[in-house]
Amino acid sequence: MDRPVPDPSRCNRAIKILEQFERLARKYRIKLTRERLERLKKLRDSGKIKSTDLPAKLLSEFPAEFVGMTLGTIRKRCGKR
Amino acid sequence: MPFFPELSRRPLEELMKCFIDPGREKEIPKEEGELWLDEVAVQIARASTKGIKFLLDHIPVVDERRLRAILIALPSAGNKLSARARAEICRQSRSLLGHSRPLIVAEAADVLRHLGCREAEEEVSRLLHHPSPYVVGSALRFLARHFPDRAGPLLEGALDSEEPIIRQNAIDELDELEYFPALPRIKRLVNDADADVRQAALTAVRNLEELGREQKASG
Repeated sequence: MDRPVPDPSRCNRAIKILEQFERLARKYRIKLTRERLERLKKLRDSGKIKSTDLPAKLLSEFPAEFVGMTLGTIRKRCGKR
Repeated sequence: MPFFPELSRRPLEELMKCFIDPGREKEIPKEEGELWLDEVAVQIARASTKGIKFLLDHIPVVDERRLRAILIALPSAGNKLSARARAEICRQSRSLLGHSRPLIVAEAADVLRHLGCREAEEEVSRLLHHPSPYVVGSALRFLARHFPDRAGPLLEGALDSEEPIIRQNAIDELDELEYFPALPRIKRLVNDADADVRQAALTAVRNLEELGREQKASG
């Protein structure tokens, strides 16, 4: 059976949080150490970052249906490059 | 990997002790203290209704850092929340909208947004005039989620705010609302003086234009 197509707006939100965590951390006033940021950037750039890698505040903003999926998987499922 | 993987293996009683005992914070580097408290509170909230009750009982007695952690954690209880617990969280969060610390007010408005406490519309709307841009941002997020028809023009007006944090919040919410009338004004912010506003604007323009193309193609 075909998987239901995810909601485009929720796709965009999930991808935005995983790609732009540095900006969003500033937006919500979350302090991330340089080491944490570097680790997250490496995960993001490889497409392997997941919502569960992020701090609690950002995770609370993340669409539930994509929790635990990598950025690469979400892009694929949402039909994004 | 979770931020503090060792926390997910700890029993609830241990997590509760971690949360209230200032000595336990010595386990982690000082600069990570706030993130650690947030994660401890989330684990407590997810554990059981007993954990949620513990967090609610501590709202009146904890310091600002722990209070923020509680507010970040409460929505993560999700389906574990009974109607009664949800009503109590909404009540307590509404009472915190007058708190002296802006980050607590902003977080309380975010709790109201996550739990759908629409009855707080009037109080949250008043926060649009709060001196802290973080509080105004959280009020915009609440209104965008629960009163989208009213929020569109409000968010469009917020694009002209002198505060980058408010402009950034307005762009992100207009993007999520798929509010096409704001596209020309968002496009102008692609050259904003603030790098975070530029990134938010570029993303919103890309998303809105893509959606516009898809809608056109599907007739």
